[in-house]
Amino acid sequence: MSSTAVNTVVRTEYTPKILVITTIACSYPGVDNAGQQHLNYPPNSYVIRVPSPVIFPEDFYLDSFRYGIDGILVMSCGEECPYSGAFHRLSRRINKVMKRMKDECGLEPQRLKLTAICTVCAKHVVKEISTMDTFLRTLEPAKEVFRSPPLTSAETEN
Amino acid sequence: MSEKEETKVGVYICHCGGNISDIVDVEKVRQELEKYPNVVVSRRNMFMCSNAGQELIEEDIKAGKVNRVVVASCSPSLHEMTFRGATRRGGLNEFLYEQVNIREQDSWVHSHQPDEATRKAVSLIRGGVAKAMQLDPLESIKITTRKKALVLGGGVGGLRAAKELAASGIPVELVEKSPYLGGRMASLDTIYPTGEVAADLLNSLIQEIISNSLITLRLNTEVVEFTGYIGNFNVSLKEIGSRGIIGKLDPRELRIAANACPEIIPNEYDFRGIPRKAIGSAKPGNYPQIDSIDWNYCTRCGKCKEALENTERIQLEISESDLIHLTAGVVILATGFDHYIPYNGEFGWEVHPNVITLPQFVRMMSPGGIFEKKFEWHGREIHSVAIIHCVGSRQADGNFKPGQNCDGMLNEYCSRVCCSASLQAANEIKERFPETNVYNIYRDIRTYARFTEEDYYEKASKNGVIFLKYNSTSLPEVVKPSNSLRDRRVHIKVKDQLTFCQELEVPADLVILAVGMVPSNQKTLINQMKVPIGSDRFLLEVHPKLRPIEMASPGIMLAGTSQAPMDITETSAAASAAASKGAIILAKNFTELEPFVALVDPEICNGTGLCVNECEYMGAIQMVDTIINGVTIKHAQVNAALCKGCGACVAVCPTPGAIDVRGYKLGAIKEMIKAFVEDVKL
Amino acid sequence: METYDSIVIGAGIAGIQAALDLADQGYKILLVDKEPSIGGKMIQLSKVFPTLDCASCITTPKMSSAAHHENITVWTYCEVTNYHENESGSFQVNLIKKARLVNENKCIGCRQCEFACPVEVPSEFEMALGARKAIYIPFQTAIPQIALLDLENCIACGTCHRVCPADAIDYLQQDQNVEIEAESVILATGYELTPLGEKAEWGGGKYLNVISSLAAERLLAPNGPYLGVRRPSDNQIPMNIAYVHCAGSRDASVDRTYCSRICCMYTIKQAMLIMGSLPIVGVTCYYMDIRAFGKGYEQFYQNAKAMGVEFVKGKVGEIRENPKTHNLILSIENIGDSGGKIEVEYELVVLSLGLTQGSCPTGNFPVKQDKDGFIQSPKLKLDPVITSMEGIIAAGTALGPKDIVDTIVEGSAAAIKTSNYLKARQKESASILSLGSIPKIDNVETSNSEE
Repeated sequence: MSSTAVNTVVRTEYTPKILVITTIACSYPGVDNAGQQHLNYPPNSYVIRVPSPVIFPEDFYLDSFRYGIDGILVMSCGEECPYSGAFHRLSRRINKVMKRMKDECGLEPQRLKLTAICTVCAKHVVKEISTMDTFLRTLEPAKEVFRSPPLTSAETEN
Repeated sequence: MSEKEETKVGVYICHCGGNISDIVDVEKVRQELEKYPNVVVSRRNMFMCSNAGQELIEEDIKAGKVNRVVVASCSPSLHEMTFRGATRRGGLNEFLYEQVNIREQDSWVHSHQPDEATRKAVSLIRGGVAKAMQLDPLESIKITTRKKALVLGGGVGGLRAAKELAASGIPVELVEKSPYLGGRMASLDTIYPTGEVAADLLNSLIQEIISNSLITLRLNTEVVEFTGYIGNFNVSLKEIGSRGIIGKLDPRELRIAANACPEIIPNEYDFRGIPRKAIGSAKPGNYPQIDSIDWNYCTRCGKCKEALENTERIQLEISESDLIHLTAGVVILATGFDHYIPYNGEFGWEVHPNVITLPQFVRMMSPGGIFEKKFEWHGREIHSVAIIHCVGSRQADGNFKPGQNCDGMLNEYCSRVCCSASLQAANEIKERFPETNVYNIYRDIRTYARFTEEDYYEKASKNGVIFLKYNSTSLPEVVKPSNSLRDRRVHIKVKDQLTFCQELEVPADLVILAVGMVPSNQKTLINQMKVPIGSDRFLLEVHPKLRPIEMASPGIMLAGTSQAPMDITETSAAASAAASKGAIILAKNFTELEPFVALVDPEICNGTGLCVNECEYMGAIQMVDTIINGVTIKHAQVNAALCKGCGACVAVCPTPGAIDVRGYKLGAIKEMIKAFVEDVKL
Repeated sequence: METYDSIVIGAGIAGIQAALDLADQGYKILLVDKEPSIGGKMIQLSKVFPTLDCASCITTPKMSSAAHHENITVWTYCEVTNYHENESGSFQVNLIKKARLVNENKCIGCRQCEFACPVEVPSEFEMALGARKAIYIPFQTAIPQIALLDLENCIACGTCHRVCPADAIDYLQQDQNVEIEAESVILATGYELTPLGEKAEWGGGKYLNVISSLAAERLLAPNGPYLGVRRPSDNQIPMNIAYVHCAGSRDASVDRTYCSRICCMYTIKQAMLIMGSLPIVGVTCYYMDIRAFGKGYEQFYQNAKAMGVEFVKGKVGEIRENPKTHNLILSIENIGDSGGKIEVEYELVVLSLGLTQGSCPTGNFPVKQDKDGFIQSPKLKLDPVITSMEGIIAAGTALGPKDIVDTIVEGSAAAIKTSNYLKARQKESASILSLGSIPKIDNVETSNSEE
């Protein structure tokens, strides 16, 4: 966070949007568990559910930022992933995306975070979303910072 | 539903009796959604999961008002099945349904910010609508199955699995590499903790197997080719050669033939304790009770045949059998284990002639063995026996070297059965030859199995068996005492943990190494079947608790010590469990798999093949040629039976829309995200 | 009367697995449990050895598959009272569905009643380390998500009735007697831990900081009662912890001489989890033999040693409490390296309790039990899951202590023994129909005909 020290003033008027990518096996039930315990975390978080985040190509993350998502939490199953080799592929890919965020798009790589969340890890869910929210509030909206990268899959698609 | 039909989304918002509506302003949400593009119906109900709530959905579908259903309520873990049911009953494909979680992931976590919770509910439901717009009707994947099971291995695991499968009405091909059924259990005498005679138990089991018309027995047979997938495994088998003896030789004839045979070979049955010839007889636990020639050692010199006046009953020409091709719906691997063979010099192995292994000792104590009546070794009475535990097991954190049959690797695991077997042997010595001193030199006594603690460990102490404990950093040494050249005995030096690490030296006329288990040598089979092994070299299950006896390839199960060391009880349970999984797969003439697998659009696919390289599941995706409008196109194709739906392939495809996981189309998820970021003005 | 192919008694992991395997073959199963949720003991655990998977992540998918299976009917809070065999050889079983005082069809599992209830009592699920209300859902991941009212502690204030949005509270609900017919029975009645206070000299149940290993599981669970490992007397992090192995096992003085098979491994696991989350805490395990015999277990033990968990071969004689600090002084007969009698002070002591037979191991069926109280396996080596009675199969810890892997395997084994029994019965009745008389059948695949 020290690199963004210029933005020490928290921008209250801006509400960042956090995309939370979860897995059917572990982290979606983990996020549910936070609800069952009636814990609190920032409401500007939007959960999607997939078999494994390994499904997402690098461009998916960049596109999400371009659409207006400010931070992405990838809540994987970690080493307990039910699909062989998926977690290692995912963690390699996330590293690459973080590099591209910095190099190609001018985005802070900390806007993207890979975590492992289990079915009863409710407290971790709260901590991760809250920490990301606090951090994003020290930054400009991603859409405004976003430096247009080379043509992405989404653009060829549309 | 034709693609041209207009997409009409129905949104149904649940109050959950206040759990949602006390925080979220459900009426405002309803109104917002009513204005959203493609939403034709937006309703709310106190309990959407109630009959009345579900009927709302069913009626809207039946009236032709909606053809996509979005319910905003609790977590899908509670009611996804409920609402899929309502969608189906309304007459729509159940996968044209999307659930939005506004309870666990909204009202319950944002109770202090009702406005924000309401705003979030709108965004989440908009995302649900955006995804619902992209949903396709799906059908579960049906794979026809061949009602036949292939069981590889004729030991107790394979026999037990075959018996249960046949009792379920499933035809079984029981394939065994050696000429005999019975496996390792055939070499045992009495077994712990019941004291039953292994050969008796085996014989009754084998009788059931051979009298069962559903079981085809294939001895002397190996797998040469293996392809296919669950329900349809194609296997080619080859008979390795006949037994070499047609009919039966009487004991006198067999003795003459064996005397004439020049090949002295290690006797695997007696664990190389007493050598035998390349022509020999079957052992008590074996089936069939027919003599055989061991083709691994026979040089076809013809001396045995000559000694019996060139009898036609000995056939030395091996006729290569034709390949046997068969298709099986499931495969059970019951390939068993081998005994650990110590490296030369390990605890005196192959250095001192009075060092033997526990399986050898068991044979020697058995009826017909050299210790049946007299406890003598090379003509001298045995006064003292030392049993060294954990030989070839628990080889970590110390001065260990790999054994002869361990591929240069240490065995870190515990072999599970050797403690009980060693104490059983110790007690038997004490009971049959009470004057003998018996030392157990151990690391931990692991008599965990039912009754073994009481009936073997406690009894051993009562019987006067002496225990010395060593640890991995100071291994016992088997040495020749220097003071007397005439002393045939060896001494075992132990730093005994039970007497405050005193250096003790115990004399022994006989040293028994309680050797562990190693995976049986099945490298060819493992390569043919492409099944995974663990770091311990045993076959690897999918997950030790979720799916403990299934392998990663669906339809292939494990039964017994091919997976890990086990005793007979545990092997029987595992074999039954493997049969249970087989019976489930073959219960109908098809098996149904979830529809959430990858699907390629051949018209979009550019044929780069990147997805094939990315896939972890052998054969799940491959490149094929298809002729479309007279042009041959190379494209990827998914085998739905093998695909797990992880989506690794989707991420690397450079062509949007060419490959997707059904139910999780990348384009649909992007639409969701676009909907999340739209402003909500309340 | 409702009829089923099999009634599975006990919905722990063994019963669930047996029910799933049978239901997947197409058989109609009634799965009953005396507790208000399915999941058994496994759902209470923190993580499971040797993979360190979270126990809930392994159990909940199986619980949910059973609950949603079209061929499985789940009845919780329900006990078998008696049975009789009818002429055709099937079992007519009487069950009592205990009153939850909450209408199962109306309750939506929202827990409003629980939040509003003013009464707090020790939670069974949290091993009394946490509290629950008088009306409650047993735990977050319970299946079904239906509340129950504990009448003993209810003060009849009527709050739950007022706040319930579904009008589900039914103070007048009565226990319900039900009779069903089942072709076969699976006993998966599980185990109980040996009593904490069994050995008076260890002070279990007397000293606050001498806790059971299952209580330690709750302390270590991510959804546990405190925020990690705290000792009960003062809610502080204990700086050193002793584990006493073989508490209640291999001990003639408590009349339980058998090995409980799992205590070594769960102790090693707990020690590792403690060291992992609180590296400054010292953990010492006093053991007789370390029995790490399953697949990957020995390697797991070696990892624990490498992490710094201390293992001492020794016997714990007596435990005394320092009344001021509530610390515990253990007198230990050290058998390891140096030997001799020593006294060491610890801030928390965990007794690695063994397994004893469940409260009703036979499920009220007269199957034979062994001298250890567990169900007898007349064919222990080749058919470990059959019992002394035809048509009654057992699975899991009802047949003696065992770990989760072996229990799940036995669940599947019990399923195939049961389905083969059912198939043989079907064949038998078909042949009776065709012959018009009762033939002797030799080759029937049942427990008794094999003898």
